[in-house]
Amino acid sequence: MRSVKPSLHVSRRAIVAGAGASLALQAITPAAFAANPMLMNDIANKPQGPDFTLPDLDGNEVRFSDHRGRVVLVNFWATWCPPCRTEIPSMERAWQQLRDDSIVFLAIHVGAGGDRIWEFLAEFNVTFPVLIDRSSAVSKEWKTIGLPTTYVTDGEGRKVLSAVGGREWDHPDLIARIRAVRG
Amino acid sequence: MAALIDSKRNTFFGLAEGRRERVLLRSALALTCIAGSTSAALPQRAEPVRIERDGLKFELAALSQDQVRAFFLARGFAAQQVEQIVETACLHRSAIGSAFTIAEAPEVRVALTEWQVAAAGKEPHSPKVREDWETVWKRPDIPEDAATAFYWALFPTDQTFKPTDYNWGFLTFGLPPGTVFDLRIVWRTDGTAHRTTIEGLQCAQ
Repeated sequence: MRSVKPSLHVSRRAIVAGAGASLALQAITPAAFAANPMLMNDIANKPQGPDFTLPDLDGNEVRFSDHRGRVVLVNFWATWCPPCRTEIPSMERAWQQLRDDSIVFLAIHVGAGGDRIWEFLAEFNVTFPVLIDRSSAVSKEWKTIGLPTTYVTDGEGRKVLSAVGGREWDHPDLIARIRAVRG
Repeated sequence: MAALIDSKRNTFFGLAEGRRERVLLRSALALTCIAGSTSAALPQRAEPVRIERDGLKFELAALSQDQVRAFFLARGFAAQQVEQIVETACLHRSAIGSAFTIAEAPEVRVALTEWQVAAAGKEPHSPKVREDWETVWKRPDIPEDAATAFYWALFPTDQTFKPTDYNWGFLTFGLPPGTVFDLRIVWRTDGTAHRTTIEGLQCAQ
């Protein structure tokens, strides 16, 4: 029978490997999907987006239903998810184009992020609100099963568009699609 | 499901060390894209396997043991828990989704429970999916935050993709390091099942 006995040598090697985790993430970034056209798909029957209250990075509670009457982009992501990391900078650029249109962005980090969230957001100068779904209960309630997943909700809080997998969010097609939800 | 961990024998998923099957490498094909074939032979190498046909877009590559260690240590797993994953999971990274690029195209469904992992001398089995790992994640010695990250890092068990949608995630094949195996994959578009076999994959060692 195999006996798992990590040696000191292995532990040291693992620690070194842990320090290089970001390099490992780069190595597992899927490349084949980078050239996809930029689509968001309609969601049949426009189901209601479940209300939630989650803390932001400063510990302030943010409630989804407080944004009733506005179009909201809800993005589920994690710092260790390669396509999430890839798309977040373009989401910031999209936010800069759409924030004056009263369109709200809520990026929900799935799981505990710790200091890595701060480091990541600082690196890419992210300014839209980031919330923490530590237990991932909200993510599952929104029927998210993989990361990243993004929904656009209408003024009544109904899910009208979805995108599973990374996108270039400042692509003109996506900007127009999001603006069209506002009507 | 049977207990995943046999604490008396200190095994994981009931995997015994057993004899390592030595399988000759099949004929090597350059594989940046496999189109229109139903079976493809692969060299054991680091380049990803890529498939794009019948609505499926697929990318698969083995992760080195150090890549696995780096990822799971950074998520909060203890070193010994990480070594158990390294020794038993046969972890590959994947990106799978719809190759369709127009909104009116059919959906693509991928259910990992329909796939088969076939290694010489072993009963074919499905990849180890989120539900298989849940017993492990509920162990009191596994930090909840680490278990949450593991859940989301695994490719979803059953997912339906709309045009251009895709997901990334780890696939765990439940084989010892170095094992050579074939992977029979299935996907469905408009209720039609499509199949192909990727031969000669290998768990990192």
